Amino acid sequence: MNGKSKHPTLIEQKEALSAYFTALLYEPPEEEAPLPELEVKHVVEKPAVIAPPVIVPVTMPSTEVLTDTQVTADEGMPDWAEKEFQALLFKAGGLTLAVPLVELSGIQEWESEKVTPMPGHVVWYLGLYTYRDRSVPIIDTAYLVLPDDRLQRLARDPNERLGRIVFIGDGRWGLACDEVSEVITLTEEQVRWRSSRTKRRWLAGTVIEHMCALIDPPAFAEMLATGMEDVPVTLPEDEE
Amino acid sequence: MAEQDLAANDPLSEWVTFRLDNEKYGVNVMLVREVLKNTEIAPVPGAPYFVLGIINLRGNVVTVIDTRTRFSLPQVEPDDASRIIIIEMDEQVVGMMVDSVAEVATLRESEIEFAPNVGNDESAKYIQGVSKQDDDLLILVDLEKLFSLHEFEQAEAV
Repeated sequence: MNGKSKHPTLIEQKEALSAYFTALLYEPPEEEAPLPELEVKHVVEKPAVIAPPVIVPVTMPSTEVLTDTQVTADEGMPDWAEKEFQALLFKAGGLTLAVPLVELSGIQEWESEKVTPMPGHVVWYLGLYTYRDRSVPIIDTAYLVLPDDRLQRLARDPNERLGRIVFIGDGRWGLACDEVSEVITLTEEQVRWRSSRTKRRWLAGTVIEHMCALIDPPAFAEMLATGMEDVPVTLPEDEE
Repeated sequence: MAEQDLAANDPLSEWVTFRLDNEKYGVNVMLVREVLKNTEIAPVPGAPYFVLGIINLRGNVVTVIDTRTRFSLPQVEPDDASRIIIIEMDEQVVGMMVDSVAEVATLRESEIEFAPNVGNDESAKYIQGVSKQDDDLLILVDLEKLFSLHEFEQAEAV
């Protein structure tokens, strides 16, 4: 009896997840600005810009960029990463995420009656929750990390899938998730760190061994606060 | 003297509170002209999506908006508890249909907490802050932002 033939789906899932994480890590090439003197001839064979074949989680609305103050993208290991560190595994929309313990502020049970919805906001903003005497915005994490095709299969009613709230950013943001599981110890070699993070800044890297995406909480918090998922090439001169 | 110092350092403001979809909201009392019981609203064809229609208020035509729709909340049929809050701002008058009106709440500035607006959708940034009321949160609405000039003009043009 061949053991492998007994559990073919397990291997397929592993391969699929590996491909998914590889896609998450993939950085699409920078688009070059079109030359002003470029003239369009009679026949254009292909479009000038080709969308990269990458699985993109839900795109946050982007802000128009206006001036030329440069902002550097995060490079490699974040500040909180050390040779060995602990991380908590949790699931959002079925996807396993890991948050480093040094950046974890707390965990609460999901209780919908304690979350006050704010009107007119985006679908992933669940509302405000009083945590440590502060009103904290609660985010439906799955909406920000899952690709579109998996989002379609997500239960519309958050109460059917949410079980816990993971607090990050000194308790200023709550990430609602399905469940939390175990705390793991990671070495820096176990993580496939992203070399350059101009897209999906919240993703610090992936851990294939645990089939999880390691999030960078400060980058995640910044993304939520600014509403921008990508590092802007420039920043506005005046914020009015 | 101590009370005067407190009033200067921590000024009071008054808010007309109302309910929508089981949540409690507040609007600055200075902008509220009056509160009406639900009355006959004449629908206006071609009006913006959030406009219920117009009413005759002592000879003046006032546009009434569906606050639930403007807040992206599910619509309900008005009932006996429904009220129309008449708002007067920048010489413009608009009525807000709400589920019910509760009270006038007096808040100290220190009791008002900043409510972060998530994302960068400008049309959603009309929450001025929140204030804890027992176990509930009172959501304070910035009417000037809610009725952006463009929307106000649209409603006024009905």
